[in-house]
Amino acid sequence: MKGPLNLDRARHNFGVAAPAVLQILAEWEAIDWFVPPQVSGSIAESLLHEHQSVARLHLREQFSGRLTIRHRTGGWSDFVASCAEVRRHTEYDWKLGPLKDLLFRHRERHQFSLAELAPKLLVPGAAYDDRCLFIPFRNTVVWGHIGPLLDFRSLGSTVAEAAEFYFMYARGDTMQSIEWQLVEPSAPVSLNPFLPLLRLYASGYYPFAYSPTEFTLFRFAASDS
Amino acid sequence: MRAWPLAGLSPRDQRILALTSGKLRGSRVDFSLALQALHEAVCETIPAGRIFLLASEATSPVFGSALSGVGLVEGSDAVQLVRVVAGKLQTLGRLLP
Repeated sequence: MKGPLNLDRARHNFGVAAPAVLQILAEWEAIDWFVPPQVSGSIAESLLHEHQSVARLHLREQFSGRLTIRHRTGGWSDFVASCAEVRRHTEYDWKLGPLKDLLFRHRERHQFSLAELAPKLLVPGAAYDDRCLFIPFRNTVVWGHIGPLLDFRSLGSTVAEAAEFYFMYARGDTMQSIEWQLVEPSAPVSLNPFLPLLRLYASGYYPFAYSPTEFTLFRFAASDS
Repeated sequence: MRAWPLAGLSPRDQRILALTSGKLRGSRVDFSLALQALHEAVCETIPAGRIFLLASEATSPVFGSALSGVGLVEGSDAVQLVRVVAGKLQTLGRLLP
């Protein structure tokens, strides 16, 4: 499942960060969601280790150098169960905890203000709507909907809800990846800790985290995706 | 002030909205102040938290959480709490009484 981004690239001028941001957007847009992988589990593990290694360069205390990675293969019912399991596991919130902290510390280190930068990223005279990455609104900045706009409803309500849940959090990783580059525009993408996560999704492996060291990589079985 | 929790909202949304409401001290406010308070509450609850444009109504944009679809919209006489589901708005009531 894939689709074009909702973002209107022509309304934006990402300046020095443009090559990196456009690369991130292209990689995100190219992901075919919820399909069996085309690569081996060891490649997926390498991507997860790469993410951890780069994250440790920036926030060592929250990203372990040693991971226990389990694999789970199944169909939609197993994926729904994995989503339910990680939601029940409230003691550790990978996405809104360490990953958010990672970006927050990066912002602070570089004294970055999104409110100051956001208006400069839009081409003068461009209309503001959900096809913009950022929307300056009075004294605040809100985010648009980069997309892609995927319609999960055909999967049935239970599966669609789980797919939407997973996809929305993954989309957050993309926005963090973009913001990371805007904070440090000339930094090479190889130092962006979020980009390996996008590549992990693209590889057809879907990570679930249960502690700083425990991950499961879910993949769809070839006959049931 | 509105009594929290409000049925049907996640604990995280409840926390953020209670914090938003507290910042406004229960007083009637305009949409800009409510949005500013929501933004502060999100950032205090989630590091590097963000607010999204969820929909655009005839009278006002709807801003809130992309994860839950819960957000704020400017009503005719008060800031309204809403939930956006599949592009459709469900009104949950006023943000403040």
